[in-house]
Amino acid sequence: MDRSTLFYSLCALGIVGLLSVPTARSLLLGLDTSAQKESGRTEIVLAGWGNTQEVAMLNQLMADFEAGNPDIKVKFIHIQQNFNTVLLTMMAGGRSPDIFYVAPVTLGSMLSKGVLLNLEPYLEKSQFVGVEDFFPQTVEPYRWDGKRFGQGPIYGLCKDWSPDFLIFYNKNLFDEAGIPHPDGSWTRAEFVDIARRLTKRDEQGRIMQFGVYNNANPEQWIWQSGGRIFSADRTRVLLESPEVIEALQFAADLSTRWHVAPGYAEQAQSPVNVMFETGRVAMCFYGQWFVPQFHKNIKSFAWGVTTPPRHKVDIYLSGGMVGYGIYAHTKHPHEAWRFMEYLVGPQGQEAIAKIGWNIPGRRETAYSPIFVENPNLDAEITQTFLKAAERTELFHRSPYINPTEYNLLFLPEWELVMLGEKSVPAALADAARKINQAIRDNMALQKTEVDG
Amino acid sequence: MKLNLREHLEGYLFISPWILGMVLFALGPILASFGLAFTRWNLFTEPEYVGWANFQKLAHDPLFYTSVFNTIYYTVFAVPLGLVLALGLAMLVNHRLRGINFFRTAFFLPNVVAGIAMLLLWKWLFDPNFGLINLFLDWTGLMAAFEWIGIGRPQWISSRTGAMPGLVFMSIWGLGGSMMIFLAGLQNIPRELIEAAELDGAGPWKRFRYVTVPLLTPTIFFLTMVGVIASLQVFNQAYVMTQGGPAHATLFYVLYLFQTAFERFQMGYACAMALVLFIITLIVSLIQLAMGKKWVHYQ
Repeated sequence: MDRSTLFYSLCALGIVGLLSVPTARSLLLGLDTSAQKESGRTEIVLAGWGNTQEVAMLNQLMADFEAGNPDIKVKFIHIQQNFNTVLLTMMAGGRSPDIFYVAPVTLGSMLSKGVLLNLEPYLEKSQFVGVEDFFPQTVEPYRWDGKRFGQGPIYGLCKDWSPDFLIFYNKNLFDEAGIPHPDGSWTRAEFVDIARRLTKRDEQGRIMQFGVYNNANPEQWIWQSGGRIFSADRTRVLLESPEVIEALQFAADLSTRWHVAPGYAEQAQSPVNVMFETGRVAMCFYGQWFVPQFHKNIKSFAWGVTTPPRHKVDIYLSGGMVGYGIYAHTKHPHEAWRFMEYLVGPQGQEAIAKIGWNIPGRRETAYSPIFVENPNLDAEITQTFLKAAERTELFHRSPYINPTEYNLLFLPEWELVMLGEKSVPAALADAARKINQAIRDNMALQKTEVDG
Repeated sequence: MKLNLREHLEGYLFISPWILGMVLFALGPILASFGLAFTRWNLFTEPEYVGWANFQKLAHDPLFYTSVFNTIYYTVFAVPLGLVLALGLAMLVNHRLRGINFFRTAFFLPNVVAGIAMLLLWKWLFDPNFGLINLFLDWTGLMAAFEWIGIGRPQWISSRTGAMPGLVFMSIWGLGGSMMIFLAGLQNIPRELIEAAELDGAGPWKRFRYVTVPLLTPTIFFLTMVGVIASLQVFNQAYVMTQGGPAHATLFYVLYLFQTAFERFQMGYACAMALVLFIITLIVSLIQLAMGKKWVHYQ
């Protein structure tokens, strides 16, 4: 090969390389998720998460829907980790799915970015779905008038939900300690006393069995104390209010004062569910969505579900509700709505009831024999959940701070409390200062976006 | 030695896959990030030019200083420790013994199984009460030494004081790669030089100090450069094991950058942080290059 041949082949290689950029890009990014007309069928993309059982259920629902709607083709994108970050990045890249899971905890940040479609006009015309079909608590968090939640147009509809912080308890450990099974009428003091009797140490003083794993969201304790994390207009946090301090002092005391719950170091050991399944913790907090898993995994002891100890306000919290929303800038809002209507309609909700993974958002389906007499569930436990659901409220965050950012600012302060290096009021005061500053910064940025 | 044009071209042809990859997939984003450092951008709206505002904000950001301190702390301890231990291991496995390949493989193995699962295993090893590390200290009686110097039972990644030493200690796990490079360097040392020194009456320490180490300086230099650059970008351990905690004790620079970009969506600010890291890395590398001229001997 002489010099000029080599030079020209190098040039050719370079040009081929440059030309291949768009090809390479589409190859690498793979999924072209923007809806496409494909042989006359409109493609609608749904993004969500879930275990294999839920994905199988969705695949079945999608097949059934396509059979009845030959002009639409639906595709599911499974995003198990960092859902919100991945979704927002896809949107920023112009490759948003048409329908996606929306949880109240992330709803605020979605609304502030204007990526959710107002469903009101579609609901008005719908023959299958109306907001009155759903548990009212599951509807309110999806309403937003630009200033407050609970009023204004609706931006999402519930897929499934549950009171998420009911107490799962190990009946065998209660029996061994001679403690009667709890019926939910206990007070916080009685609860701590029972947790203490269920905490066991080895001869070196290491805790081998904890009374409780406090994996309840702080909101559960705070609402029971009569407090709230956010002000009604969501523009600041109320972490310094006496109610919040009282609630979080109790949560911290479980670990740092009474030593009945794992402290910071012990929490690293294993996931909560594993500790419960292996009898190393007598009580923990979960929603309906853990019932099927515990039924499957726990063979060596009997367990039950009861409500958390009573305090000032008789209320239970739900944080894990999941619903569907439609991308505001989708090219096919009508087709997307038709699929979403199917998912939140009777067929879609019955599929949820059948796997028993969580309480369906449609009240009628939740109380139907498909769910209440589900052979995969324990009828008594299902009743406990349904009864608590009627007294359950959804907590949601602020449009001006996403939950991840909130946690980035809150957790380092909370870690100092759990390490015993800072008092609860001091930590909450510092956390409030940082979070309120972030909210102000974010609001200023959003304002310039609107003005600009 | 002067290369002719053809040799130049051939050289570029050989590295062309890397150049193409760099130009097509990395150069664009790198240049874009330099530009975005002067904007306010949350991924969803048009970037807005804000001049030096991000850098001014950075100068007043306490977490910026925390993360710089943590990263330097890690680098200052992990890089020298890794070099010394890797050289020691390389000298051990440099002996011509039966079955020595088994040991070479064994020491290199952790590099192959590195990954998220390995980090989760380390989390268990570090458990203060039931982790193997503290159980080993209990069993050997070494725990008494910790208590004697007043540290008490090490809480490792569960405490603010123990988290960083824990991560530095964990970095030893991955020194098989450096060991292999040292081994190659050791085997490049001509035997006759060592023999000549031996005939001149040099003992093992003097042979090591005046023959082996000087001839290894190019290797040491290379590993220091690469090690420092990698340490300045340390991320995985903290992201998987501690999320920067407890209370920012392991908030490394790149972890803070990642949180700023992909959890708080402050892209412009994060790009400014990236630019600052680039400049820090450049300065550190230039200093090392300048100092390297004084102590690195090429044959």
